Amino acid sequence: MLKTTDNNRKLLLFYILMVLSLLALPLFIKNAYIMHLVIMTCVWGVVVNNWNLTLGYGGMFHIAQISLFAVGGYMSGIFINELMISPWLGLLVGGIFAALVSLIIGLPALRVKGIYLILLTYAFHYGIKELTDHFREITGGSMGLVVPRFRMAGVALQNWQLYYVILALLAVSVLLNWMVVRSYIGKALMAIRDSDILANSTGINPYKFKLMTFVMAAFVSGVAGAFYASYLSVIGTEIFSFTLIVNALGMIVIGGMGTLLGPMIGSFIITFFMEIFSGLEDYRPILVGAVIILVLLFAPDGLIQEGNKRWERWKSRGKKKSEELEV
Amino acid sequence: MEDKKAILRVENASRLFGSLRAVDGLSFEVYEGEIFGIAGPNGSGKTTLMNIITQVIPPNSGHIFFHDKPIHKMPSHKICHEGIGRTFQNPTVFESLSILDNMIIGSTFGKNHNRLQSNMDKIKEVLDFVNLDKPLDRIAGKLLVNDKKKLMMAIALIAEPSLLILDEPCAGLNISEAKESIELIRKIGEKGITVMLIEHNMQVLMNISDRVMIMDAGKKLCMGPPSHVCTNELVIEKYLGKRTAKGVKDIAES
Repeated sequence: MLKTTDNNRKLLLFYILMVLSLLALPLFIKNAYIMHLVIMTCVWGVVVNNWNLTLGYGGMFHIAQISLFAVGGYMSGIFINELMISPWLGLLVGGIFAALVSLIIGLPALRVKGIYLILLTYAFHYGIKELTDHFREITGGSMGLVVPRFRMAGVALQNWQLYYVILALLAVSVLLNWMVVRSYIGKALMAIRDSDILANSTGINPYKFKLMTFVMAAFVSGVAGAFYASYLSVIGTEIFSFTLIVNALGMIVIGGMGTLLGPMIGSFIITFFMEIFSGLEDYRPILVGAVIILVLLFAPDGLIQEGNKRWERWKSRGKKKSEELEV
Repeated sequence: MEDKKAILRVENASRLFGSLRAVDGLSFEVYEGEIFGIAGPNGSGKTTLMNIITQVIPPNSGHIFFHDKPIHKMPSHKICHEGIGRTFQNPTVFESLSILDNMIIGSTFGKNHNRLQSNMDKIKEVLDFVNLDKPLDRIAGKLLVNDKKKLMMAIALIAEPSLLILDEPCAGLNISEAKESIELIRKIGEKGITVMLIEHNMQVLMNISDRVMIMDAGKKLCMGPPSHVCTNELVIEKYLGKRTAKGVKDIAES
């Protein structure tokens, strides 16, 4: 019990330090481009954090998260442009539309699993892309949809201010996922992931819990999509590229599927990796693929789990040594 | 036994896989508090029968009543809430979760609670009952086959079912583990829980069951007390063979 309390204290201290460092980050980053990369890391952090809830914890192998993110971005942009709502309200609109669309796709798609779910959500992904191309008068087609930036008291917000907005969204997303994972919903999800047949005969309705979390994850991703559109002032059809799906999946796999912090670490690595090697242009996806393969080979459970394993090994080795010295 | 109340009534249930009739117009009753054994050759439809009772696979036709309530159109999870628990032939647990989490899941959802049920006294009591003496934080996937089977039984038991369906609980176990498993089934029966038991080992089945049903090609070949079943000509001819029938008869009579 004492050991657990001690571990909990250390963990709490780690989290407090992490939050303080994240809050103080704009004080140390003076370069606008680096700040932009940090903001994009947080945006992708929100998306993969929620994708991880359904994929890592719920075992739903779908690829709809990026399209739901795009739905949030586009719908928010359309409402801001057509109905003249504020980009702040656009965040809510993005979330609501992503949740509604996820309900429409989730109702039939979550009745199947495995390759069928992947195919259905892939079809949905391209369906959404085709719709954006088709209604180019309101979506901007391949030219993209221009979306007004966030303002406060008539003044456009600067990047360091927007950093705090997306950091707050990331914090809410992580907290929400943490609460879900610890609740009976999280237990049901993990049970379904491990064995849906046993979960079913243990009284769990897999469909209900999967749909519930799929819609919840879509809402938060939709809000992130709305932020992305207003932050960049534009959202275009490149958002539907297959590379983006692979990158986001890579973030989850590299950081650690089914862990709370893993996907965010993954999003940091991939976002910065893509920028560092931006000169290589078309060869970048090959490099990302190589990184994913390397992680799968040497840390198949992701960097977080690998780190935990090594830490435990190191601790037990230290304990053995001190016991030997005592003897 | 005849004056006992039926807890489960299966009426003319059938299940087809293409042209194969896995369960073919089967009717029988299971009485409250009994241990009801089911045996038959491979492919006779035993596991399919369990699956259609628990709606893992819905029946194509027929009716199934539990406590006189129709359950043949109910989803699987609701059947659990009604009070039917089950285990599987292959040891199936929530592999990535701890023993404690496995038990919390059984306890929370088996009774359709909407918040986590982590009554440690109850969890320990059930784990003691199935004789699973492992640390609660042990990951279930790392347990040995016998321990996984015990945990699977504990997950089903913590939901307090009134009917427990066991699919070959002794499969893959060595002699001493199988004996322990038989003893556990007997203890479950003594607690007043009705047990439906599929078992290939006829000696085990005859030893433990109050009544036995022998299936062949999805149909009921014979049903009754063990001593009656093992002397049935059809059962000897189609399933037991003369030598096995004699050994089984001795056990049933003893």
